[in-house]
Amino acid sequence: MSAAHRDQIDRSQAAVAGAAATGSADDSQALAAGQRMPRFGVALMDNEHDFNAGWACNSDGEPYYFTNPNQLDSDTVWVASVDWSEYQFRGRQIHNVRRMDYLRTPIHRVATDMGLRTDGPNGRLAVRELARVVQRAVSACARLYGWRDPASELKADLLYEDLRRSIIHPPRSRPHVLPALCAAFQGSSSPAWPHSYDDASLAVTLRYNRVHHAQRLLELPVPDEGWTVQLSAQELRLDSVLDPQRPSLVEATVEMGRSDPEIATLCAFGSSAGRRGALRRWISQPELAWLIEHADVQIQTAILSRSARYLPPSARLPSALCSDPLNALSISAGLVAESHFCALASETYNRKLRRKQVSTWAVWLRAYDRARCFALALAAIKKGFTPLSYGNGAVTVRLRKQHLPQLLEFAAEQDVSYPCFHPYFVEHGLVGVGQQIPA
Amino acid sequence: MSGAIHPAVDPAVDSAVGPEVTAATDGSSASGQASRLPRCQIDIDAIRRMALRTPSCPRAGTLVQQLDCLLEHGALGRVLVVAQALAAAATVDASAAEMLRVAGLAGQIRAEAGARKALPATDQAPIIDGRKPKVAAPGVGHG
Repeated sequence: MSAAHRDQIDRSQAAVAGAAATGSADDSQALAAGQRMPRFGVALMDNEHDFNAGWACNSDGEPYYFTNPNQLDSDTVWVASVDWSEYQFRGRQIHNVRRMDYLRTPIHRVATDMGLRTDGPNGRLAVRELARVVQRAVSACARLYGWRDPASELKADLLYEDLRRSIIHPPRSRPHVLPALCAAFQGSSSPAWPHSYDDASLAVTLRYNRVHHAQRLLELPVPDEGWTVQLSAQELRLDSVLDPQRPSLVEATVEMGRSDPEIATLCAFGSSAGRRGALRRWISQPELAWLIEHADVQIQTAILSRSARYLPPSARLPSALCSDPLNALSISAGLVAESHFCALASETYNRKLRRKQVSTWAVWLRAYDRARCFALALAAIKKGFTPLSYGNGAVTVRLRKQHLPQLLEFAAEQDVSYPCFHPYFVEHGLVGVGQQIPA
Repeated sequence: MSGAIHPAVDPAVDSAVGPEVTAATDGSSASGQASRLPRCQIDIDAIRRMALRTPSCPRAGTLVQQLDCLLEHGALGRVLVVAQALAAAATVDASAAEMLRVAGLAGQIRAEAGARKALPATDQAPIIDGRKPKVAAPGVGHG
């Protein structure tokens, strides 16, 4: 990490030491033991639907094969590659087991980004490297966000839920805007292509550098909370709802009938992965800006914000993470940045109202994210690749295996940082193990 | 991001960087002629492109692993050396042998970084009277 980062680490260590010095010697030792950073590990299951057997390794140990979850060390927090239903059924009850997408990106996809294969015996090597990356990412969080007692901070199923407590909260939206915000929120896009099967095809997830992507989005303007003006149908003009100085939310109908069918499918308006959200009747200004280029948008009404503003420094990525450009080369730092972004750009559950809510920041940040990913997906489709989903700084494309060299060139041109393509080339017989991919 | 230049200067690099690794990328080097730029300038975009296609080294792993591990150890100056080597190799000579040589260099640095971490008392001892304390070779004499 950078010198600034190390300074911050030194300061936080000094703060912990100073706090400990206020008690007796025995107390300080007990405190230090209690505040120790939990050890993390990764468990890669042979079968993701069955939480039973697979390779496991903690961050400072050696890989071992387990045949029962009880064989996993109890003093280690395990990121386990089990699917959602199995996690809910068996994993969630266990105090030291976390979801496979604990760092937001599923653990096997982190492996792919790093150029590691996780299938079969390859799991032995992969699990060791992944455990170290997870440990680095969580340790970096503890330092960057000044967690005095990391063990007590790390309670949630997902790291970004724990991070959310350490980051400034978005302002609460007025009740009359909340339904519009919920209806304008879309986390990712899943174009509904016709089903097809081709045994010579594969899916590859192209991903921007996480630090750069989060940094870029968190520097864009968001509305302040003064939603004051409601425009009637007579007052509506396109330039008034697209004025960046006055962020807007528009209630609109999106018609794709006259659009190119491929582009219409790619827009995936209201089509996201996972559980169905609220009816998409509202559109935020950043989304409207790219959507009107590809679809007929009939605006019924709009509400305007008083002004746009930038996120406060406390909501942006920690300065220690961004001050040194080399930090962007670290995948652990990238995973921290991604979790930070998700902490601000995700729905939250309101226990009183018993439903999910979104902030204005979340709606705008997700719209910016999808706009950037849509641009990459659009470029991909023009090159002949099929985007299967996009969002969160990534686009998953389907292609025939002989087109891997073209995809690699496309990724290099488009500022994409991951995945490492070499294992794909080896797996599909385009180069040998250890051989360089021809230029 | 293209052409991002890192302005940091680490004294450790000056002694470690050889002529072949200070040759960074610019317009003229694209035609195969390496140009000499001021030391410690890094084209991060060149490293990004390298990471997309570089094979895994049997000793040191993939480039993404190497960079992550080096940054975690705080071996920033040494990372500069490796990254410059990668950037230079990407433009000057992208042969498999060159890649493996660079990957091996990164692996060696990682091992050194790990050894330093394991030997705090010796390695991080203060310099007294202008003389550095003797440091055991990694893996030797500290059992």
